[in-house]
Amino acid sequence: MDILTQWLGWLPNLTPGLIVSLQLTGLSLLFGFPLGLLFAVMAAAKLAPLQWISFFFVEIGRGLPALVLLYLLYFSLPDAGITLTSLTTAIIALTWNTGAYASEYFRAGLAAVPLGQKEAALTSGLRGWTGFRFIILPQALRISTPPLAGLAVLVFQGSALAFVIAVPELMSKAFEIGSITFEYLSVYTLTAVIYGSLTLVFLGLVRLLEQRLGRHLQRN
Amino acid sequence: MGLSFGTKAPPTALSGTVEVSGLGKRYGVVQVLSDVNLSMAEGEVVSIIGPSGAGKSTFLRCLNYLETPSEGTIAIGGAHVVAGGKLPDKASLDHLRRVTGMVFQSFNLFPHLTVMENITLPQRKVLGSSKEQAEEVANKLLKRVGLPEKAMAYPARLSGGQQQRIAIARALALSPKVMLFDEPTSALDPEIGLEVLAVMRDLADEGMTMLVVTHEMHFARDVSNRIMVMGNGGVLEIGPSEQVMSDPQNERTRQFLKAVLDR
Amino acid sequence: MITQLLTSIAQGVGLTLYVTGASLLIGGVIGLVLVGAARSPIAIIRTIATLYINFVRVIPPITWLFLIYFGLPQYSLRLSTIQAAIIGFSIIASAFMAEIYRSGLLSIPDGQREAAHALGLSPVTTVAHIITPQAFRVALPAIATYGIGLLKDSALASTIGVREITYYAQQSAKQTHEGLLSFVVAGALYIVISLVVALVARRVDLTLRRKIGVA
Repeated sequence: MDILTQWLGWLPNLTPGLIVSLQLTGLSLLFGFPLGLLFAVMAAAKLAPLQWISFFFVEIGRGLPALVLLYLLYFSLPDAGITLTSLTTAIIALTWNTGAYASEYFRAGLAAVPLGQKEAALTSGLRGWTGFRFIILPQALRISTPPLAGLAVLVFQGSALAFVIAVPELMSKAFEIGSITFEYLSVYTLTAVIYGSLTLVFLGLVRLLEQRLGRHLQRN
Repeated sequence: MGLSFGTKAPPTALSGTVEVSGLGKRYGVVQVLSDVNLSMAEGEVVSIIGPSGAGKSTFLRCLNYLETPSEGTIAIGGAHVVAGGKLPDKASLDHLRRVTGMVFQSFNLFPHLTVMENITLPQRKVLGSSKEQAEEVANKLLKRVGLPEKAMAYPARLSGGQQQRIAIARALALSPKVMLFDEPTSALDPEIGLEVLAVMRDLADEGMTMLVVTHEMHFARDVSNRIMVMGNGGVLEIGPSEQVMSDPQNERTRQFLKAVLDR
Repeated sequence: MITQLLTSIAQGVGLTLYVTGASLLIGGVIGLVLVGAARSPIAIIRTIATLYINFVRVIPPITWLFLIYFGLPQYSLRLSTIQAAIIGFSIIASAFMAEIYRSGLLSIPDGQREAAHALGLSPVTTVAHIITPQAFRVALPAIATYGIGLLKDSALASTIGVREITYYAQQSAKQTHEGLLSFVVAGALYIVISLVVALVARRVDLTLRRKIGVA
């Protein structure tokens, strides 16, 4: 009983932090996934420079720990004369990280679409961008969705890192409460519970999405 | 004998001729096709038979540039393309692909679209038809191949034979002048294959120019006007179906037919 | 400047490798126990193991670290930064490794167990000599990939004060005001280590492929 009242008492303080975490996650996904798709398409392009640019950004984006990427941007952007809020910096870092990992999943998805589909699209007059948009991309997306959803969960967990560059998200709020009350164990357990339950809910939604997307593949 | 479906459309006055000369294809140093010539009149049906690896499918796929020939000229239903050297311009290739319709061994229906969408999407994107126009054409074609009730189904729910008939409808929706069939029944059980062959037979009766790579000897003999026998990347023999099947001129053809018909 | 930064930041490599390696090892062992428990015929053991595996993975690593490092002292369990980091990462690694083992085991055809049974081999022998070597060979690439992921996660240890690569990079950045360069150097170190691990893993995988075939 004690703990629950304690926890309920803290929720009003933690909630703004959670909202920032969700914002950070949402925006990073919103920008990161299309970026990943862009990287994947560039990687398959005929022009070599496009391939190199894509390779560079992808390898840095996923070869570096997310924390290092975060610090990199946080420390270097001001020197270049660009002053951004911590939140914006965190969004950029996380978007880069997300895009890099997502590009690999998109590449796999695109490669997994059977060659016959591309041929059928060609012979049905659906070539170039039209064929890509209506025939190849939808199928590639369906294949990539499960791993991408897993990535989204990791991005949510990654948002916790923004704490180190003073973004007022959930972890930083928890730390505030901890430094005042010294109830570190309790507050971090609550934080863990919040992250955990939201993640589980999200994973459940993903499973539903998978089922819905796979509907057209269900046989009699 | 045989099954017959739906309504028969009046004979198509709009089917095309085929003029292929000197078609060849190289993969590096390997010559997979050499000096293939073929002339087809409007409404003619030609079957291509021969041992595996003879280049039959490769030849067919060169005609709509799914494979790029290394040399030769292709003239189909008004489209004209010269191979070798640089790639022909986009306009010529588009024209070529519009006048030809292709049916694949593995059907290649778009799995994420309903049957109706499979048939209407190309019409809307290529012909610029409205949704209503496209659906009207689709419904007519579905009746013609005997599957009007499957319009809203997804391909995965249909049998192989049904999928292939839909694939034929999809190709016909763009009013091609020549239909290319790449082993249309090889992936189907013999019994199921009959439904597809019946549709193809109807199509032939209606006057469509058809070029069919196949192992179905009965179809080759009964439905096609001529049979082209290929071996080792070249044409071994070409002539009226009856004659090629019963009295082949070429020794290799004789061997092949013996193996196939004596099973 | 770069050499200066490199020497100063490279001081952290030792602890980075130590934390990653120890966590992978300990986590790997606990994971074995877990996967065995998750397949146990006793319902309670199975439930606890499954709950553990699913519970651990949905909590961010940084939260685990803070929970252990800041939370446990309340119970007079004061851990050093390194101990806290290793415990935290080991717990996380154990859950992921259990899943990797599970996939590896699933890929072994039932026919293997049936043949062992027909030959009269005991369950222990079967698991030890037939199943595990094959499962391990199948799982190795996944383990290597996870190891590289863990290497990157180890950067988080800097947030509780472990003096590994990222910690030294932060120090350099603050002292020399060369923020970009410091973290570029740090990033390069992580990438180089990852590449080495990946190459070694591939070499081992190829060697194993020749020695141990998999059904």
